[in-house]
Amino acid sequence: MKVLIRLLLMSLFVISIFNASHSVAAGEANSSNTKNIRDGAYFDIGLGYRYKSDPFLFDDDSNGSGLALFANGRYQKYGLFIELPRGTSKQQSTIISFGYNFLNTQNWSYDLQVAMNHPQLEHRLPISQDVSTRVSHSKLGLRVLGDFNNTHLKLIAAAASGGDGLYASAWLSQNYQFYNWNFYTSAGIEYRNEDVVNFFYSINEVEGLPLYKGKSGYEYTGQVGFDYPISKDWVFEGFMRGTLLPRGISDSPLVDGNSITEAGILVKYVF
Amino acid sequence: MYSKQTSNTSNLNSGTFLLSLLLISISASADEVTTLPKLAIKPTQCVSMRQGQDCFVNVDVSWQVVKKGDYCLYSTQASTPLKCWSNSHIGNFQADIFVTQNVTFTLKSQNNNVSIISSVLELAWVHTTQRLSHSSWRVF
Repeated sequence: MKVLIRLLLMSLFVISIFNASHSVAAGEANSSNTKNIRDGAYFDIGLGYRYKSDPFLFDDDSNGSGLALFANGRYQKYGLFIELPRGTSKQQSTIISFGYNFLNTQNWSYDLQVAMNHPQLEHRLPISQDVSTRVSHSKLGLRVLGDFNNTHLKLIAAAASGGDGLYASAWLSQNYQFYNWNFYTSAGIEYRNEDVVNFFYSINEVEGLPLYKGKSGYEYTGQVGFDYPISKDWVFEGFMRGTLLPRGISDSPLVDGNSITEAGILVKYVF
Repeated sequence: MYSKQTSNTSNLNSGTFLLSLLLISISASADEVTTLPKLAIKPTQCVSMRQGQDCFVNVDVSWQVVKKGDYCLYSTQASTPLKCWSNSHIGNFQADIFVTQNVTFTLKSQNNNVSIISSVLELAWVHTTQRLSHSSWRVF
């Protein structure tokens, strides 16, 4: 019931934004109904050092710090887009996503997007040493992006892996400029319902692990970072990010702790 | 015999060297004359992250002309001269500036206010600003 109310509230919020900006959209549509303003291509690729510390016991590579490749790509035509969001920001845990950008107003952009909202998990069973994989599925959702000069908003409501899996998130980012250095702070809150939490973190196998069922919860993320233009094509970038996991996840026998820390420094080429 | 040959070779080498030096210096001075006046800007480009942002640069402008005289350096950022020189044929100007568009530096004769030479400091950026652009929200 609580989930339904939350979903309803989020839908209302999205609809209210939709309505508020509809008149602007209508005006814009008349003036440029042949071209979607977000059509185009973007790609950057960077190499750098990444530090990561997380409490997941199931993934041998999760604490992998070292040389890392970062890539961000997007291509959109006639509103249809495909994205490769593997940059320095916390993404939707998706390797690739695609969708349709169906509406753009002066400050808001609305997408129907198919993406993963949780990374795929693998863990080794203690006795048999078999690897158990929890496959994350790409699911349909609504994404709303807000752009107000140096302030950016992102809202997502989507289906997620698990029976009636539901994922919702809200992000706020603020940019600052100091000489040619650009700094930003961003904060996000992500909600996953019980079905999602249990799809990834419940324990049904009794092989060496206690049975576990988790509850729905909110995950909080804060990030600070910078970028600096070395030239028109090369950018120096860095970030630090902290994530606080909900009890439903941190209490799982697959998890030993409740926070994730990440940092990185890189040089990237922007095409 | 051997030592004489060596000495001759040495004399020949010295002569060739002096001749080369002379040719180089003539060529260099001819070059200098033909390329003057000069107005060099370093760097030639100011790069910001996003289009529309102010771009900060420590610019170094150096100029050189054939005749000594009174000259002033102007930029399109100000109506008053950045710096003036008296009875000089070379000069240098350095400053920290914020750029919002291309800036043209012009050397003018102080007597008749005639432009002698100009160079442009170009404003560039990594990301083009457009509403809802791909880079405007770092998380797509």
